[in-house]
Amino acid sequence: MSNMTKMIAVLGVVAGLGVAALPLSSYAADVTVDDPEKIEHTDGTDAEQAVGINLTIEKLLSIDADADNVNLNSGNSYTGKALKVNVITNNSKGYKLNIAGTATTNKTDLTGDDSNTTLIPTFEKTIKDGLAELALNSGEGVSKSVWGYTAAGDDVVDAFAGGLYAGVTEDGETIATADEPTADTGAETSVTFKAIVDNAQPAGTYKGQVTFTASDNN
Amino acid sequence: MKNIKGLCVGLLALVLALGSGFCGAKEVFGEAEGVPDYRLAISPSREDLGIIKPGEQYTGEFKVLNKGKFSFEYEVSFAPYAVTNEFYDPSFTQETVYTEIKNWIVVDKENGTLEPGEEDTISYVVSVPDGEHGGAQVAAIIITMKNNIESNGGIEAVRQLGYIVYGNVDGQVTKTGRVLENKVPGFLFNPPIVASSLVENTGNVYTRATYKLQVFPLFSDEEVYTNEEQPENNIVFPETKRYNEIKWESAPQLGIFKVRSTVKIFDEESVTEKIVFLCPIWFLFVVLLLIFCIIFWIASRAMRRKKEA
Repeated sequence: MSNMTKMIAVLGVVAGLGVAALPLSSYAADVTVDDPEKIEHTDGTDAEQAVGINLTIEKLLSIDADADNVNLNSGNSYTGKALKVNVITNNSKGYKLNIAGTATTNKTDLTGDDSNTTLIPTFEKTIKDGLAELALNSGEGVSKSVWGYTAAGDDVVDAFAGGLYAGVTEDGETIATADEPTADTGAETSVTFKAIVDNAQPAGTYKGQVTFTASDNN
Repeated sequence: MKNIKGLCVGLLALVLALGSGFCGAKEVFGEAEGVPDYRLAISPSREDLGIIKPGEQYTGEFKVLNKGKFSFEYEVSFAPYAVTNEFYDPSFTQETVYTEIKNWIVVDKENGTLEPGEEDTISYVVSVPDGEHGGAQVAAIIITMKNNIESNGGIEAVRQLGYIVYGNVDGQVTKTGRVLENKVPGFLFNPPIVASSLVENTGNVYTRATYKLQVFPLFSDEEVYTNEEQPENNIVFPETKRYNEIKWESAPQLGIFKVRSTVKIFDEESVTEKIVFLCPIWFLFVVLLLIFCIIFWIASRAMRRKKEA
């Protein structure tokens, strides 16, 4: 038997075994419900008793996070500990998790404690326009320092792949979404805030605020 | 002797390991596993008011629950609800003619404090103004959990939930829509079989688009999968497009099927039927290699015969 013939035979066997090994019959079986069995009395009359069973499952949506505040210090390279935001829902179509900049004075910036004019602006990249590595601002007349966030988790939008960063926006953006109910323990999204601080940035304490909003995926 | 010693040492180590495992698992009384310090919940999470008439009032209610370990304060506010893209990502700031309902809602309780395990029932009234124009209205009642600690720097993280309320105001309405895309792929390397679609609501009322998926074997009309009795449906707000995927998750790894996808919005219906090949990539590679080898074998035999001749 020539080598070529042997090879063809081997490949043919492999293909055949492959077909045999694949789960070809995975169709769901039809489910039928039989009529309730009638109970017969000894005198031959039929009797049956219908019993209604009611089960109410309430729709529920919840949100929690493992911290109220995230600190960015020079000691940790201005990278905050990852904030874990958890959403639980039994909505059949899942949920959306939105993040927005909601600080009192400058909504999306980190504002210094000395005055409202000392700012660390939000990163210019957004999920809608495309994300990037966090980098100093290059524009004239603005602080070169910048802050932003990245997100990770099973439901996080693809834009964050590779650990890219976004800046918070006043209108908010969806950072995680699912189209089915979460597990009982919820779906966790890990958000890491980071700043890159220019040497010329005035020293002081800077504050900002973000708001996470969870809602039904309608 | 050495073997018996080794066996005894091994058994002793195993017993010690198991024992320390049991002793180490100390249960702390009263501490529920997995419950966070602060968890805000609402139930239910939305309300479809259906058709609402100008000059009328509609009531509803929902619960605010504390599912965490510690008490918290909450407050209630109102926001517009709009969608920003075909994936229906929401916006709670964008105002349109369809979000005026946020100004029509009042609640009986605008803030509260909840201890762990407690709940408050919030009742709301939607008062539709007289002479209001017809069309969809949608808004969010926002329930915000207030943080206990004032921020001294860094980034404060606020958590809130959106309770979505929507209805169609009776009046001058248009009910028109289009199915922009209805696709079924012809070749898949692995399950599930997925049909995707894009619909557009060109009217001024919200509706539900319906999605049916039927799968048949290649040479038979007996369905192996269908959701005909319970088609999937999605709400589609006016002047928006919505993308959807419908799947047959239990599709086998290998097979050839006829797949029919039916999408409907208002009176517009689109039906796409296609033959779908489901084949794992490694199997495809083996088959192609087999075909190549057969062709090569036939060609080499032909050349050998020619030489001999």
